[in-house]
Amino acid sequence: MIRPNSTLWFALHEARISWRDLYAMLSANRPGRGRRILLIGGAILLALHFLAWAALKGIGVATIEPDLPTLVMVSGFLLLPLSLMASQAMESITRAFYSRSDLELILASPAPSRKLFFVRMLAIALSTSGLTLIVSAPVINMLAITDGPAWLLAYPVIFSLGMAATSAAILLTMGMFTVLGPKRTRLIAQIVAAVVGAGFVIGVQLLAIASIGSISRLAFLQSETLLNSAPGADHFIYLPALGAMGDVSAALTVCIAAVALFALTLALTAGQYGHIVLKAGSIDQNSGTARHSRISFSDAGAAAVLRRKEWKLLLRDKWLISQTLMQLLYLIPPAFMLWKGFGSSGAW
Amino acid sequence: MNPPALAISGLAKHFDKPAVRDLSLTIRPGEFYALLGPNGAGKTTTLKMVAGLLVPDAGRISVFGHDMLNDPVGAKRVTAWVPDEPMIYDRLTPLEYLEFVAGLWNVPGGKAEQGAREILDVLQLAPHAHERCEGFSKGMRQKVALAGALIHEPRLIILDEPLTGLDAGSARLVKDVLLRRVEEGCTVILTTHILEVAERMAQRIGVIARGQLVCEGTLDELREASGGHESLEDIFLKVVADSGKDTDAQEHAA
Repeated sequence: MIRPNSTLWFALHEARISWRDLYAMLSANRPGRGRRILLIGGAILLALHFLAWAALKGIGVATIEPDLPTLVMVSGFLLLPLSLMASQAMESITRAFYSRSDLELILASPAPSRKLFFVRMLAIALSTSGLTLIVSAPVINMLAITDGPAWLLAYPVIFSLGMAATSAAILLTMGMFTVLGPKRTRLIAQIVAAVVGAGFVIGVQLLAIASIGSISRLAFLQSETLLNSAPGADHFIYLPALGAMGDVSAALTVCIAAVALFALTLALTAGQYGHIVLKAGSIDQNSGTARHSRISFSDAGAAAVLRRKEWKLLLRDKWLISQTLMQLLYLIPPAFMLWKGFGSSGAW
Repeated sequence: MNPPALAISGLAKHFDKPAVRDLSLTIRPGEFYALLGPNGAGKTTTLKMVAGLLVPDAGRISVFGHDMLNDPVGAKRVTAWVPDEPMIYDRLTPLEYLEFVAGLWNVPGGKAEQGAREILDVLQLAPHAHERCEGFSKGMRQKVALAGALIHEPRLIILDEPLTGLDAGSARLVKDVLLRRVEEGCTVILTTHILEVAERMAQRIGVIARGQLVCEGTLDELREASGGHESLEDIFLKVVADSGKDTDAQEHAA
């Protein structure tokens, strides 16, 4: 019997709601579609595994050794999802603070909000790692089949990176909340999440263009320039890469460090959750009244009025602004490459 | 001496402008109290502070002797809050929802199950007890939320506009349930724009305007104070208009 209000009780409640939401989304809210979903999902997974097998066959798995070039490349490919996971976690945490959903019910009850916080943050860690794990799963599985089961250690290593990214996102968002206050944090956290998410990809691409003249991340991660400036193969920064490649002690170290960081972060922040949500809730009351824009009634016609209304709503949508910013940020490397290639020669 | 069901003193909350100003209010145990006021008067903000969902800038709130700021768990244990747009889980059935809410208030399993079935029966939701709430009408959702508020047998029930959007049958049912709870000793505070509800059901009525309590009393006391107006609608419109003039004068003087 599970004790009500315990962490496990909250976890089971959240899992039940999430599972039903997911099933409703996959089945378009029509009952009795479980078998069809399983069949389609299975077929997609099978196809992805075939693609992974074909790709790995080309590079020769048996030759993979944990030498410096491999460690640098694997670390680079782990850092890419790490920054995306941190970005996704930040966005989810901001939503967890500002979206009221069922929080009014729970916060009006005597139930301890810190337990709910623990469960929700763990769910964010799971969901942020989940996407990376789903995308990586065919490659990891085919590596495990062709080169040995040690590759399966990549799963806990990626989940550990998700926990670390979530911890960093919690600390950053809560720090902003304390320093900037609830009103500014809502917008700025979205922008920071967009920059963090795109930052690593863009940074690597910019470095690649500057050093080897190519936008290819793979080429940069294999380049002499990077290998010469990278720390030696025995450096601790390669622990996640070593762990993902099947080194048990490295994987264990990464997992323990991530769990410890996550636990410490929650211990430091869980007690403030209820307080933060209450403060965040206070700003919703008058969020649209601070600025009075000039209203002009015109005879421009229905189409013009509709366009103006849409623009107004788009500009007031903070989530949309961050997503648009992310897309704009991704344009920086190609723009930089074009500028570097053609800008000085005027060869347009 | 028994503590009041709700004692508010010097309550204040400021957003971009003051929402609640120096509000003091005492509600006795077992009382049916209607809090009236025009839109934006500060009713919901006041009730949210009482429910522990907003932190006041100043003032004290005590629920049956439990200070909401110093002992929020004690205060929340005896309180139920039903917002104007109650959140119920679309993917849960009414019975599952009540199981969850009972858990939040630590109601023992057997007692909770029996109570849930009784409440669903009273609110005529028993035939839908195992259907998910996603297809429910506004009235049915309101009744599920009310069932959630009753499952832990609170001593103080706070309802924000509980009758808005309900059909006549559902509204009558909700009113009957609330009156029965008051007969059993429960305290009920509700806000409503349907003045007839306050007129017929409430033992005392308070009117809030611009964040301040501008008048309070039984219907007869309000009639007397307003100079003989008969209907609550007339009284309400007069005190709200008078309070506007007073506040404007104070602001001009300041």
